[in-house]
Amino acid sequence: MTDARPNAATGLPLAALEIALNRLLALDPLTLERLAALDGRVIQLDVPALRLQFTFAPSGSGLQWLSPAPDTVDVRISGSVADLLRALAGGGLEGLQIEGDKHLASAFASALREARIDWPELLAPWLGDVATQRAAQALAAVTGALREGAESLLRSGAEFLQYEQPVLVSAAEWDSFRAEVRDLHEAVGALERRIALLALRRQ
Amino acid sequence: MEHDTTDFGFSEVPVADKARRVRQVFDSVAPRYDLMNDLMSLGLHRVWKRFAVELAAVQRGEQVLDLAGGTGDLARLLAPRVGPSGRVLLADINGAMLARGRDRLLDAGIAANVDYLQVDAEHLPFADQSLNCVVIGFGLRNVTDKQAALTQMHRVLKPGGRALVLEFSQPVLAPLKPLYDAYSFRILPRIGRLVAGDADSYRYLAESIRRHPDQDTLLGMLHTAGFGRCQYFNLTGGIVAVHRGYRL
Repeated sequence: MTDARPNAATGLPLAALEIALNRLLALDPLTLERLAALDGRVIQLDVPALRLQFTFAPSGSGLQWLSPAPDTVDVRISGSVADLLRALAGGGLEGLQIEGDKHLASAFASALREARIDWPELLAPWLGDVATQRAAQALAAVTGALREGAESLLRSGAEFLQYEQPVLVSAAEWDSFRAEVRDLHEAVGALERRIALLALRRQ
Repeated sequence: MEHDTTDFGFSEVPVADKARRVRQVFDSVAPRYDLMNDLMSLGLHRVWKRFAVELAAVQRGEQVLDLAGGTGDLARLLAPRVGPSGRVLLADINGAMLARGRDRLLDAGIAANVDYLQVDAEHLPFADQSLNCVVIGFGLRNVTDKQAALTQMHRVLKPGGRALVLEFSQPVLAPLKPLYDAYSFRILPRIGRLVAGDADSYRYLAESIRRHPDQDTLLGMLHTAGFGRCQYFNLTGGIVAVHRGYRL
């Protein structure tokens, strides 16, 4: 465990981000309990391509942004933004480089992944219970329709590109092609070994 | 060797005398304290206090001490956050300020989860590791032994608990300094005389701000008191800073 260096102020944008994040996390007590179990540990997210580094310490009150970052951390998770987002969305930690306590990285990712933010609780003080409930229902309906529309568009687009304009191949064709390439690769390997054997016999 | 004098604004007074003098100042300013805060800070003190409370990230059910809480501005923001299962302890060494704070909170309909205690920040009457959060807003500079107060704050916090110190500090923007000095030493005492009929008390407030440790010194004092993961946040160009430290 380390301390932030005692010679620099923490920027207000990071503080605002921390406050906003913690307000959201406060809407899910279960996530706060999971983060409380990681209290005292320091986690660093690193996106080398963008030269971005975020260091924070989880606790029962949410996440504390550590800026400046301490000299040592318990775990450093590096990868692309896409890989980090995929890990938080439930895709596991594959593709990420993890230095340090892997169990901590896994526990942290799963705590955030399983967060269930109670949006109506956030809106209720501003809109009132009835209006919030209706807004939540409307939002759920719109989200559902959008998701359905997006899936349909994706399916139709894929069919169009595969069958109408044969730009893309289907998954089955792609698998079959890969299997043929693999077979060819193995056959070439066997042939190479056979030629080498014949060459050896001729000597 | 023990120091036998301490600062009281720009003056040096016997250590034993500072608490009495500070009490006189706050007895004098208590009736107009809130109005003066608004006038002096142009309303910004509300933003600073809200920022400190947000940084505290207080949760439902937590026990929070608002130390040197005075007229209860921070307690008023904290009480809804801890909810009915939590508790805010509004504490101040000055009875007049505390009474004013109690009246204000009652007028605001906040009563069920707030207790009032007249206590000395250097000798907190709480068990070790009994609180989740301690906040002190614009109070630390009036404490005679600031390091002792910080050590007490650390003692009463549970592991994982945090302390927040909201206090006037040193401007970090050079062009701001002469303006700030002129405002503090020329305009502020005049406002104090006109509105509260007490220029001396407001001159003390301005002087005590200048004698208060700067951001990095206070950060070091938090470390000395035992806090970890210490940080500070400058507000309004460093005129005010929020320091935060955790009991690990």
